[in-house]
Amino acid sequence: MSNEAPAAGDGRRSQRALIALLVTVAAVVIVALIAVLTRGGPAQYAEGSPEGVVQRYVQAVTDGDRQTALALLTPTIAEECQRLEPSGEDYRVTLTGASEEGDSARVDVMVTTYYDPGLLGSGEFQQQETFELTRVDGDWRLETTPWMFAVCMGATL
Amino acid sequence: MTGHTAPPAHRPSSDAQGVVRRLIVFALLYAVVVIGASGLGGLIGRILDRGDVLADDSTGLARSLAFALIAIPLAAVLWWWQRRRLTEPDERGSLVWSLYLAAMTLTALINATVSMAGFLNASLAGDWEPGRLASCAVWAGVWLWHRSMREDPAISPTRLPHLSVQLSAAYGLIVAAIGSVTAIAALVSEALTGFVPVIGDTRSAWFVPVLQALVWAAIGAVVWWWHWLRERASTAPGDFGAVLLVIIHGAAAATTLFATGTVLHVVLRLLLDSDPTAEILRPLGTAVGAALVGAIIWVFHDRDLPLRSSRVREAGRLVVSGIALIGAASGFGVVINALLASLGPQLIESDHRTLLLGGVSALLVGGPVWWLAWRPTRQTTPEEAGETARRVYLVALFGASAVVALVTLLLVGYRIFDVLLDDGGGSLIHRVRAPFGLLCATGLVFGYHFAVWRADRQIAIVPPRSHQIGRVVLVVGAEPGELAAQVRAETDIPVTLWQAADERDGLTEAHLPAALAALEGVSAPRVLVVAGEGDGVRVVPLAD
Repeated sequence: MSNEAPAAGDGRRSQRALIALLVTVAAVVIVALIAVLTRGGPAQYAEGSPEGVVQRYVQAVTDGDRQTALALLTPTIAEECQRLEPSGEDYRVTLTGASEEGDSARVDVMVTTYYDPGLLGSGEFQQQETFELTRVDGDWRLETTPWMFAVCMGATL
Repeated sequence: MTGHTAPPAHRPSSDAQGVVRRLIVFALLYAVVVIGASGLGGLIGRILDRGDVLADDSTGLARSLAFALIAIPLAAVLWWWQRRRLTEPDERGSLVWSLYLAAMTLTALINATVSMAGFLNASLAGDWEPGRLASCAVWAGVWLWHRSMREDPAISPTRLPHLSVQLSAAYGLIVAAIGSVTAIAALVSEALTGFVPVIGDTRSAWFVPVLQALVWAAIGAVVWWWHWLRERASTAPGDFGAVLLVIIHGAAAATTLFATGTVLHVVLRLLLDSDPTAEILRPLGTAVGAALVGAIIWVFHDRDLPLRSSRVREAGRLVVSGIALIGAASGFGVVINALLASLGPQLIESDHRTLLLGGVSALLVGGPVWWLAWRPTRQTTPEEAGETARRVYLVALFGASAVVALVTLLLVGYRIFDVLLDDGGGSLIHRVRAPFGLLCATGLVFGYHFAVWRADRQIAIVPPRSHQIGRVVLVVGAEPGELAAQVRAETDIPVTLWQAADERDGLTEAHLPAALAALEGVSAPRVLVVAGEGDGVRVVPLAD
């Protein structure tokens, strides 16, 4: 008899907590949808900057524009290039850091790879990668790229 | 006298030959059903996929034909043979039968749901894969077939009769939870890209992964709803249901606490750390999803615990207390680790800061939850101190503490000797800080709970059991029905069934009231219950 009142009270508290959690989920989803739908496209970096070169190179590789991609590699690599097909997965590349030192530069990125989610898979995988650049005749050119964006054998890290 | 087993009784080993036969028959049946379903799925898939085939492989077709044409007739013959036997109480009460049904039901359910989700996800990505649909249809058929076996009153298992439904519900819940977490994580991660510098994105549609995860969530939710609510796995009697509920409750609590700690860690790092924002935000999507979904599952099942019994509720509370304690103690250990790291030469400051913030997050989440669950300031009553669950909890903590202390002590010792013997030297504090931090936390946990244990021992009153009986042996007729399960449920005493050679001497369900009344006040390691006059019974206490 004495246990019924606390049990009923616990039940009501659980019910309220459950409703509050469901409302929170709905709020998170709505806010996230608004944020996604109102955001702009990726920022455009200056063409002459190391970040800009990496951005153009990644875009060229994913568009299958091999000529543009080769033009952004150092001439030595581009001339000796043994063709390598990109992996064909979907990627998102996020800038995590960039530094220049004399005629060398490095651009650190986080590459998110997307694939079909399985039973227990999350459908995406993230890894830290680095593009290394060198200055050739005043322009930044790529010396090494992460393996998923390589178009030539030997140009990967 | 032949043995007959019913839930949750155990049987004598005189029927070893029958057990081995059942093991072989059901293992064979499982194998041929799986092979036959795989072959049939392959054949139907080929029929549906006919229009797109450019070059057919005869090997695959030959394999599918062999699998379907050999395994399916074999399965039919094996089942026809075994079906006749299953009308016997011995066969229906066999643990092997129940396990087969649970394994095959779950195998069919997993294959059907994986195929269905694969088909829908491929369709969302623009691919038409009818082979998966064929596989789904075949496995759904296998599932329905085995469901009809479970529902058939003539052959349904009498031992662990709800095992298939309970395991299926747990599977559905896991799939629904993972799908929901993945969907929320994908959406939140997508929203966060507005706050980080994105260089490039090759995807054509960002929402496809979210929808694909939602497909999994929806399929899992339907499976869970069907089994947990519609087929009443939530209220299925028996100890397994209670254990499953406590496991789900504990797993949900652990997920929620770990994810909440991660969210807090991200927030603290955003405020106090200097690492790139993209790197700091990386775990936030999954952590938000896991925290919300875990909390919903936790709260939902928390309501079911008291409906089982006060013991189950207490077990649920102690499991949460233990999980929170692990989080808080780990956090404390990491804080000590980070503090010791700050004493040594600092090469990269942010590493120690990240470590410290991680420890603080775990401590801030685990500590309060442990406080609320364990309620350390509350006066322990003698009855509480004598509860089995509380004593098991304390002993389990001592065991875990001993293991952690041993491992960390060995590590500390190894690293001290390594520093002493290594010519290169190196900072002793730097080498031992991680295990030393964990050792300190373990010492605190052990010390506190040892004091609690000692205090409990001084005041504990072990509640007298209404039945001082170790085991009840019921001598039953050919149709004992649910007698064993009901005696077990009413008295909480393990039950063994012995089958009487003459059916007229055996107990039936009609004897239940008399049996329960006769067992009251009896005290013996084992008690034999036989049928008496009419619906009466005779109770014979046995010597040890």
